[in-house]
Amino acid sequence: MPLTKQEIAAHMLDLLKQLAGDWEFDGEITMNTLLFTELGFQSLDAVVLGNSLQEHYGQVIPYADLLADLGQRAPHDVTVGEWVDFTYQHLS
Amino acid sequence: MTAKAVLIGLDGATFSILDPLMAQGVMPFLRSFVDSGVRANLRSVVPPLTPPAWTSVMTGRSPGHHGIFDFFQPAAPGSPNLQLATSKDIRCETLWSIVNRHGLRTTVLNFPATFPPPALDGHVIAGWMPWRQLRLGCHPAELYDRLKAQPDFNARELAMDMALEAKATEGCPEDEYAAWVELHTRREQRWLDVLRYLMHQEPAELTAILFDGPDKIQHLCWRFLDPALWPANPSPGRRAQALRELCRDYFRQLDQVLAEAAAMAGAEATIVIASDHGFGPTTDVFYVNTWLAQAGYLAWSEHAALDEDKPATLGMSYLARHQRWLDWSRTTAYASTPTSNGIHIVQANGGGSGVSPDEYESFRDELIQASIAWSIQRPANRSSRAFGSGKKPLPGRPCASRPT
Repeated sequence: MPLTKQEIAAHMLDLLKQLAGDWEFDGEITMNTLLFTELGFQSLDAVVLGNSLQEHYGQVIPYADLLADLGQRAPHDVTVGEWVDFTYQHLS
Repeated sequence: MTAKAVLIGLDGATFSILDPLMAQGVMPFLRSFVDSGVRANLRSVVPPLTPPAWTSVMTGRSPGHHGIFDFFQPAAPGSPNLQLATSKDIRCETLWSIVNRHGLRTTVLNFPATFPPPALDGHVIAGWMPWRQLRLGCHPAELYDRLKAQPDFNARELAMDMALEAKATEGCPEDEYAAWVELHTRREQRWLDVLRYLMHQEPAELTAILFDGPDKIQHLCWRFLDPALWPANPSPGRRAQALRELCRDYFRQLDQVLAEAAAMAGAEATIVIASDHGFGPTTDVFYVNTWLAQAGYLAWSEHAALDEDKPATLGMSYLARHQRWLDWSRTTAYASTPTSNGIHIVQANGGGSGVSPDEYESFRDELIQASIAWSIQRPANRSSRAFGSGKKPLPGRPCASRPT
């Protein structure tokens, strides 16, 4: 059965909260949180996050396209919600 | 139980630095280790770069066979988009898997292309991981929490902060060199802590660990270490003397790390210390994409000019830069990353711009001839001594990541 967007969002938020605990981030993480500006991501963090999600879902998800798109927009950032949308779109 | 074999990797280590340090008493353990064992000069791989070279150590195969050529590779055949070269991209069986297949356990620490960590019978901490996500590089998954509970655990120093790592390739002000060297001295201690914990708590028949400090320090501080570059007269300034001593301190402490690792393995263990590629001074810089543009193979987009105010760095922190800076409708060949060590031909598979499949061979030959001609015109420049097709130095199966 295909995953729902809510299930993907729940996994993404759980993962980010677990990781954020490792770097002692005490802010709230929501679907509107910006990965780079608010969570302090660097480009390699986004790449590794994408690889981890591909591993989790057992499917190739073209996050490289999403990251390339980030280079074209200002600011160069993405929200948790946009990341979830992209994942959902390519898992469907 | 005692580990039966220990593989210790020293990234970028070279005898041109180690021999003088051994002779001067800075690395007494390594000296006795070498004297009582066997040593040989390293023959690296093509390209002689950390991920492909260590993957050759892990698999016993050349990059054309194992499929790892760079830190990054095209996201899909012909795509200019890049993705991380991962453990999933290795196309040959690894040493760790072979050990498991024979019913033995293994511990693998800090090697590149081990993320996502393979589900081995043993323990893995992937190398080249951003520190914020080191947890995701650990196998089994609970390993990270066990390590986190240990005193002195510090993920930020154990793994990588890319904002700092960029210094190794892009350079930094000289007053930051000391902190850089000290960070790596501490980092090796952090890895030794992990090694000690796992060798005691989870002994394995094969334990492998990679220390990457030699590479990182030599990137910035080669001139303080290379005897050929250290002037006897006039005497270098006080700051250079202090940096040289700090670098030697790093190697002195690395020697102690090696000694403790060997002691933990026990007298009966087989110990191999290996490097992945050599090192040397930079004598000249060849801007591949600039040359391709001048030769008519590459066209810059309007964004390249607009971004000219950005720092003129190699762009390790801005990996998608080439996608934005190139005019893909007029580009037929490009180098994708500062470490790609090769030129990719834009292929017009299914139409569109780029080189069509039936023109590919002749285009590649033309590119090789043009690069050789450029090299001959500049005999004093050593950057371009060995251009060639990807087929000859990279035997193996074709794949998307393989440079042309």
